[in-house]
Amino acid sequence: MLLLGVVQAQAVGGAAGGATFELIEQRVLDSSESSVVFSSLSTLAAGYTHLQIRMTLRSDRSDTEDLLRLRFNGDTGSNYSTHALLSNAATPTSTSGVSQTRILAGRFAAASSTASAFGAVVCDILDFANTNKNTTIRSLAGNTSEPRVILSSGAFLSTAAVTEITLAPDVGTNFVADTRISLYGIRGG
Amino acid sequence: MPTPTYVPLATITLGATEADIVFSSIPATYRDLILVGNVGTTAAAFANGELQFNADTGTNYSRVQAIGTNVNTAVSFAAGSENAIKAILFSDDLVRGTNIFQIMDYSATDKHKTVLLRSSIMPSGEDRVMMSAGRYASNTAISSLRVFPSGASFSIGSTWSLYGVN
Repeated sequence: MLLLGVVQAQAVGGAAGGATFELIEQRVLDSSESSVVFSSLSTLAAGYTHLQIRMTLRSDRSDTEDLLRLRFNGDTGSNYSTHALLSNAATPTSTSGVSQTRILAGRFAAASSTASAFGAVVCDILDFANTNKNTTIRSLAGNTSEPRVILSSGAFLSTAAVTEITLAPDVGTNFVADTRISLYGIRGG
Repeated sequence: MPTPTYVPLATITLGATEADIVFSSIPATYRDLILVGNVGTTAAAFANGELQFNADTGTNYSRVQAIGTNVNTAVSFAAGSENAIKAILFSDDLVRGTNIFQIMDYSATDKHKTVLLRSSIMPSGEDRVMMSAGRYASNTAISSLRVFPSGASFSIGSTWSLYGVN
């Protein structure tokens, strides 16, 4: 056995080697919320090339699983495509959709899941401020309540810079308390 | 004010074969942990791997995984009946594989710990890529973790790095 104690001097004091991955904003819900919105990104996320959202989620849907709805700039039109490779306990499958009104960026635990079980999602949003291309996302999510592991991708079919991100349960009404959603900025070269 | 994060906490490159790696005394300072490995083992082709927290060897772990090999796909699920998250693949020593584990909300005391895992290995004729989710059914903050291959040892030159993310 090789036992490594984590060096406290390294652990305290912030990032080594320059600030390229930074926490912009974090929401830990004290009570149920129907959505989480990160806005004013032209200011808050100025200087970053990509974004990452890291989440532990649970909704009030009366099921073991809910789906994560992602929209940009408050756009509710049919301006998204979404795709996924997913599996449950028995079968790997795939889904896709064009002209969608949102990106489905993963799946997570819901009200019928084991108590204290939350689903995890890590979502990368690439070149979010670039006005020469559509914004694309990639997301890895999983929970052992449904059970489910899912790799998703999606596109916002607009070259507008992303200035607002809205996350919500796609079926349930609310994210429940203790849900955590953190937005990070990643600087490019 | 943005907070710089993704802090390297510990890293190791093995100078000898090891049956397991334990990271201990993990501070509760961060939100998530990310464990990254570039790893080989003494297995003939590949080895299954396991992840435990807080020296807990009870049946407190569950997992779901999807694997693509060079010939087919497969899925597997174990609900709260195992003594580790057994959703990891390690390569042999010829072509080391890559493992990335996202340990979410590891220091939280109000929820179980969910882990997102990715493994990719390319030993000859046994190529595999796997995505997995695991859950440690405990509200206790994680202060140590142990990772090990089943029936093999990590080979010399394998590297593991642990990062904290605010």
